[in-house]
Amino acid sequence: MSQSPNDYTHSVGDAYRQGWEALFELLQTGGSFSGRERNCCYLNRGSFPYADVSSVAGFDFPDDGRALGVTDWDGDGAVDVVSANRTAPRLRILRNTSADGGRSLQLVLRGTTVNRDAIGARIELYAQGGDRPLQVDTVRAGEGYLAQSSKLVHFGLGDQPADRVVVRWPGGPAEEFNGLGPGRRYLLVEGSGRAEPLARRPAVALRSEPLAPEPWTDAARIWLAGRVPMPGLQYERFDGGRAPLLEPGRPVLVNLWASWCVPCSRELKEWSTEAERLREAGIDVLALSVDKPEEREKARAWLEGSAEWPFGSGVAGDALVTDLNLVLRGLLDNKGPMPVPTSFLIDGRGRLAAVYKGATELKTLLSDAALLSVDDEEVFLAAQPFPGFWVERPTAGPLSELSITNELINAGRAELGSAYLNGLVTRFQIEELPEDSDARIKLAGSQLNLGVRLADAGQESEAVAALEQALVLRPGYSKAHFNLGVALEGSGRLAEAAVHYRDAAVAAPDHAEASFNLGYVLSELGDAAGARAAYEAAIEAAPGLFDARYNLGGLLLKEGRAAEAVEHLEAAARLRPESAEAAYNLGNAYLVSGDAGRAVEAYRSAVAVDSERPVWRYNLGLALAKNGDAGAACEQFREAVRLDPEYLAALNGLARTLASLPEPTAAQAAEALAAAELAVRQTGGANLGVVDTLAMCQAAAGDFESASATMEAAVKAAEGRAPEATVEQLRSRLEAYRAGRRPL
Amino acid sequence: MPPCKFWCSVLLFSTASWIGCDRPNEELGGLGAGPSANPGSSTRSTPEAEGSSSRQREAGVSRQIATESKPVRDSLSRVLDRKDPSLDGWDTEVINDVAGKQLKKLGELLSAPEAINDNVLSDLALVSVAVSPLRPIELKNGFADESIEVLVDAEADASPAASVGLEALAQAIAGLAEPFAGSRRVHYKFKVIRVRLDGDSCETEAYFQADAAAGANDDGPIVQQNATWTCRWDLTPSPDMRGRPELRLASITARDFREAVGPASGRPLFEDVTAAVLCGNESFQAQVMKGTNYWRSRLQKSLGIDVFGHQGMALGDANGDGLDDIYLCQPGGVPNRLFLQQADCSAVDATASSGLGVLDRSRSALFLDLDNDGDQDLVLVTNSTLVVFGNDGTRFRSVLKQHIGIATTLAAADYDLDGDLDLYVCGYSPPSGGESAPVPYHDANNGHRNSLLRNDGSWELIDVTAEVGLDADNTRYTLAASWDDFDNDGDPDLYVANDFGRNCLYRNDGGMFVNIAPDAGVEDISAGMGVSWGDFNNDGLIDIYVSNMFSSAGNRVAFQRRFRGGDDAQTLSEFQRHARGNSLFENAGDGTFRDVSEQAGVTMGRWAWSSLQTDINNDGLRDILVTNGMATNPDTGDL
Repeated sequence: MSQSPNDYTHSVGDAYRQGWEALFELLQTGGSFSGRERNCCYLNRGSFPYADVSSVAGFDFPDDGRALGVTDWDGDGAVDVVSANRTAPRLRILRNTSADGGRSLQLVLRGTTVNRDAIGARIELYAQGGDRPLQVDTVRAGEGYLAQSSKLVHFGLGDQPADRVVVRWPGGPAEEFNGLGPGRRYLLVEGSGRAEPLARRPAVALRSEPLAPEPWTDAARIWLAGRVPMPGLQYERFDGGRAPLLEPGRPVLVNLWASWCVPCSRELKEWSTEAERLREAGIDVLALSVDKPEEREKARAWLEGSAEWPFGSGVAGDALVTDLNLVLRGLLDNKGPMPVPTSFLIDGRGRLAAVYKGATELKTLLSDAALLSVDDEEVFLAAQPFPGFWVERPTAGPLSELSITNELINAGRAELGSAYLNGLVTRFQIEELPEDSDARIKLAGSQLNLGVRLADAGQESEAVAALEQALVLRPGYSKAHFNLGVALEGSGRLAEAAVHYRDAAVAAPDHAEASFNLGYVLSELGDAAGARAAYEAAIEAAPGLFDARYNLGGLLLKEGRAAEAVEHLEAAARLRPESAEAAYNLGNAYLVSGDAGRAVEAYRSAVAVDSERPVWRYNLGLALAKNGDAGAACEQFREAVRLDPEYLAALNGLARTLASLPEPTAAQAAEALAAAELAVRQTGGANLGVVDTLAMCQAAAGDFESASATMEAAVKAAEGRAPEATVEQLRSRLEAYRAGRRPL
Repeated sequence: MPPCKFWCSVLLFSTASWIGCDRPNEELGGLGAGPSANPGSSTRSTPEAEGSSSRQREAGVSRQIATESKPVRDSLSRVLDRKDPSLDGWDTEVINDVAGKQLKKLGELLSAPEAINDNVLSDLALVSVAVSPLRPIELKNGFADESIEVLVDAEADASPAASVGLEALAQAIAGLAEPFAGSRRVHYKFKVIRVRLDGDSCETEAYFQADAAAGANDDGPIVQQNATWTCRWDLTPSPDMRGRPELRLASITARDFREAVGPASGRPLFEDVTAAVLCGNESFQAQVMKGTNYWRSRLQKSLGIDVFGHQGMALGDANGDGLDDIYLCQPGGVPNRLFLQQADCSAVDATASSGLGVLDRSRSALFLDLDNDGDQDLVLVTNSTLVVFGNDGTRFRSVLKQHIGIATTLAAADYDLDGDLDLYVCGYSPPSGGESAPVPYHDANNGHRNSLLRNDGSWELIDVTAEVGLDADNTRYTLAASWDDFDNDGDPDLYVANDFGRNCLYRNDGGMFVNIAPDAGVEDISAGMGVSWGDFNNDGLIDIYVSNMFSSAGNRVAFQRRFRGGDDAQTLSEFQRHARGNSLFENAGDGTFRDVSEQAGVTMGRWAWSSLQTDINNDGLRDILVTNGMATNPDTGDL
């Protein structure tokens, strides 16, 4: 997964996990994934490479193969294969048809002092008089995947004249067994020193025939192991009114049908004819058409006319169909869509008992109706298709209902989900359970999700309430604190948000985002020291968290701690080389801390990404000017002015830089003068610095008379208003201009 | 009981399985603060008089945007987007898609060589296409016995002469189709493993396989061809530059061609006798012939059923009659089955009388004589419990239950050589509550621990994992383990295959263990799923074959420069290694192993689960069998 985090933070981890969940969803709704792959068989030719003979050997079944075991099933001296599969057939048994069983030697080992299965025994196979084993093998128990092969030791012999084995018993001595012949099976008992031949098995002809797994069908009767309450749903009557899906007291079969669906009309007609029997069995039917709006009249006409429908009827709009499917998704691992027809059998207490995908036979309905009144134990037993026993019986806890809750919440059905959840809390007395109980923790997760959903829907106060409830269920729940922080911050309640962010970070010190958001909120609240500490905590939890580096750098810079800012902004720029802002701010930090050279580099990489920012151009110009490259600096100032013709600082910078050249050309002097005049006009002459620049430019152009006049006016304006030192400085410049000289 | 989810990964490229348990809750996760779109610096530009003085600058304060993590169905659309590679930005994945379609047209011609004409071919290739024979002209025998013959390129070292033109391409395809002798049902498959993009042309490398029963009536010998094809494609961009480009072959060459031919009778080495063995039982149609999808559409998931179907099997002699029987694990709510083999080779379902009809979701089992009393007991791992059934000669009775967490494969050995069998239980994902995605994906270390349980007699199993040193590197996602004595020192060593990362080889030093996988060269970083020991080269040293996940998409994508651009070379090569497939490690005898997977040509085991080294043709050489396939579901469009 290319999105897998190396540097794990909560947010990245969540996104990564969602990737998994998405894949999971895809599989659960019927998608295939590396499906129909054919099993492989590689033939060892005695030299590389092996030959792929999967098809030729008849081994290339497209099963979703899991376990694989070998044995000599029919005792003919050749290895047969058994696989266990995810798909049908769950077991596949393959007989080896070769007639070369005479070229094998099979051994059954039995320990007497070592373990009786002789697991771990090493068998060395020797040729007569040979001193080097031809082959070795070991008795193993468990290999491959989820699998165990036979403990029978099988040696193919080829043309090797082997007649002797040495067995190294596990934890026991080595023992030799002689006089073995090909094509035979022997029992080797530890300590006996004698290979006991086992009787040959008579040849058996096993017929081979291809298996034909049933084609896939959506149709299914789903009898629940434990009943679950239905959410409070409503349907639409044909006359347009709305009515609750369930009337208390009487079981109902809610049937989704469509006028175009032949199996639907067939079963509806049957139910209509047999209405009395259904009623006697205690069942009413509610036939809900899922037809498109324009077909509904037709559906109604058919139902009331041809079918002479004796039960309730109406319309299931998209929302109801979706909600019913969400209930089903909460109960089944197969989350595929519902077919038409689908029916829901609901008992007199409003609890779902069974779901029928596809058409249902009357006799199934009648026998299931009889099961509506049995006790929970019988309900549970009826859900098992075959007899058997449980090692750990699934408990009738709230988990199925939680699962439905989550389906509703995740699908954005916040109101339904919330009501369902509250019912669950009451019914199972969740708040009475110990704080670390599974149900409480999971329910807190549902509350959390509900909060997120409500926040999504803009219901801020409901979201806050849901998240607070999550904290009641699970005190110290870091994610709930965090989300509360987000919700409160969104409503402008910054101080409260900070408290929850802090709690989130305390509960989960590795929750870098909590610390980060805390830092942000504190800095908004003006608590720079607190913000710094929080950002530092975020960085400690996730050194690769760009935003924390970036903001901490910014904060330090703002506080004038440029040297410290450099460290974090460098890290930010490293983490996200494509971020122009990081590069720009790094440039600022360098410039402020006096490293104009590095500042130039950083600004340049910012400008390379985004060349249209006048301020960036201007700052680059400043850095260049400081670095002594007046020409390049002017270019940047010009760019800044081009991008923003009223950019006073850039005009001023351009004029000043040009005017400070030791020997400006006439063109340079003219450009400087033009820029300075623009700047003065813009400020109406009220900005002393700009006026000073104008004088400089006039002097640079050799017009000392104008320079003197400009400066005189400046001195006048400054007297009594600007600090005396400034006035003094202006006077000394005026002296210089009057003397026809440019001040140093 | 919370439903346990065993699941398998792959967004961009495939990986192995993941058991994420106890998560019906599917917590949305914290409002994950997605790395914020940087809103940029808000630089105030208050002009100042002194041009050369530094102005007030403000580093932009980026707001960590506290976006909520989206619920599953929203992020699903992002995953589904990946099905259309052009939306995902991987240009080479678009090429793969288009090239795959062109290769498919070529593959169709194998079943209809008479349809090969210039019209068809000009859609596939340039008129100037350079073609080397797809089936070498000179083939020599590479193996032969009574049931299988293998032909290989006689001049594999020489570079094949290329001819030019559509006629040459027609001949090459016809030549390739010839051994199928008119079969209309040649099954073929291409797996594109590399795409190189190079201006207005590109190159693909693909595994090719075709097989069919030869002859127009499909009654001849089975023929199977494998090769690796390198295709150079001429690329014409779509007119608006946004759609898919057109590709035509500029050149095509094949290497590593092999052709295997079955016996003339058409009867393959392995024949399916499942029905003959099992059809006398009611449970044959009712259970054996029902896949996982059947039950997960009918049984409430809280009974313990999931989409992944990790239910294994054990072979052993349950009733002491000298014949192997089968114990099949089943999903929750469906009882495990015991089939007892009869003298006539059929098997009788004896579940009801055996006491082994466990309804809990079961993953694996072993037949073992744990108490050395001469009959086979059964060890089973269910959802999260280890259960031992003692065999009293007539019936199995539960004698021990131990909570063990999410367990997968079982492997037994007498590690301390005290005369009774001990158990190693593989654990997978961590229990609920924690972050349960493997992190980091390619080298995950947040899995469930495995346990070594020492048999102390009287049905007591003591967890000695920590005290024997097996807690080292013990938080990986383990799917399989197996014991054997690789260093021939008389005690069993343990190889552990881990999903999402590195494997372990624990050397047994007198009952204490050291993970020597890094030094031994068998870490095999990838999605490890199965372990098989065996001396494939008969040098007296036991070698290792490991099942992994082969992913053609993973191969293609992980070799692109854009893939995880920020990572160092080491991480990148680990990702690339991840998709290679199965591994064969040759025991060098000095405590190390040589990775001979590629030379041996045994990597492409697909999404492999079990593998075994066993001699299928009694020639004294262990061959390799692999079961594979992740999830075949109703929707045929694979991700």
